[in-house]
Amino acid sequence: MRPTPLTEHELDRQLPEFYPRIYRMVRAMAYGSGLDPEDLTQDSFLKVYNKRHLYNGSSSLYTWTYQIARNTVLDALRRNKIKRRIFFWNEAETEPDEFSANETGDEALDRREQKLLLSQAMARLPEKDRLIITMRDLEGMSYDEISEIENLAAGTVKSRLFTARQRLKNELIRLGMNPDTD
Amino acid sequence: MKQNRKQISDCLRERLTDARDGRLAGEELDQLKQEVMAHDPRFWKDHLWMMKQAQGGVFARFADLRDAQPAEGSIRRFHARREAEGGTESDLEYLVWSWFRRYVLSVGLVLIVLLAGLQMGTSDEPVGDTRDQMSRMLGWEQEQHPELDHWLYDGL
Repeated sequence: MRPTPLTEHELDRQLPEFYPRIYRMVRAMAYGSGLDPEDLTQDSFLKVYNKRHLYNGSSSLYTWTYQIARNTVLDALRRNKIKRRIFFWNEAETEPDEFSANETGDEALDRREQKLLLSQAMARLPEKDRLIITMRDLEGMSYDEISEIENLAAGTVKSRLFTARQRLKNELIRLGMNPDTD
Repeated sequence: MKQNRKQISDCLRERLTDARDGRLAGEELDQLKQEVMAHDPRFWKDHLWMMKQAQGGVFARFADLRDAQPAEGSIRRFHARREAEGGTESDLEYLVWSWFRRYVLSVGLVLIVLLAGLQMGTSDEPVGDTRDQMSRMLGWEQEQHPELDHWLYDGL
């Protein structure tokens, strides 16, 4: 139990470190949805600031912040999915590739294609699979951290991660990747 | 039986993830391979694919996604938005509000319920009030009051 409430000043101090990491997770989760990752990141941090009195210190501040951001993104994706179904919008949209323009040559092209393929395959995964792959393979979080955020046993996290990667493989094949040569 | 098979699948998936992380080697890995092949050979095929992609393949491209950075000045814009939306409660404001919510509102609510209960228990209105209310509701005139009185109070 935290003896004193979390202050605005403490959050201001952590913000420059947390913001880019949370942004990366939000961006990976929102890819292809048409949602703006910058807006979603800001929404998440607004909630963190407004709910800071509820932080009791039972987990690290980053874990707590991550949980709020995770819930914010999942809620937004769910709402967005419902909206898309109602208005018959297209499923996945391609987004601008952020590879720097000065990268040229075959190798850069391969990397760009693979990155695009990976982003598209991730966008096709169920949200929970996308989240667990983002946490482990993109963010490099430990199993303990993921267990804490997802409130699952470490063994369950590993088992779900394997399933999520299997689904990622299937999506990559559906998008044209050759599993034996690529 | 089905439940048992699911448990075995989960356990094998967990151990295959350990193997991908390099936590299993030698005899342990051979043993796992035998169990996986006996249970579902597709798991092993998927495991090999994951191992291959971890070394310079698709999974290595996560490093490129990791490079993604928020636009410049995004933290400044966040603070500006926070201020524009009324900022956040100061710690003192929060303490006062939480005290208010906890005590003043709950005590107030209890008092309202109690007073409403008391009011309901003591609602013996005088005779004249009932007659006036009925007159208003039915649109009766002053000269019709004796008739209303007869209907209301005769036989009491």
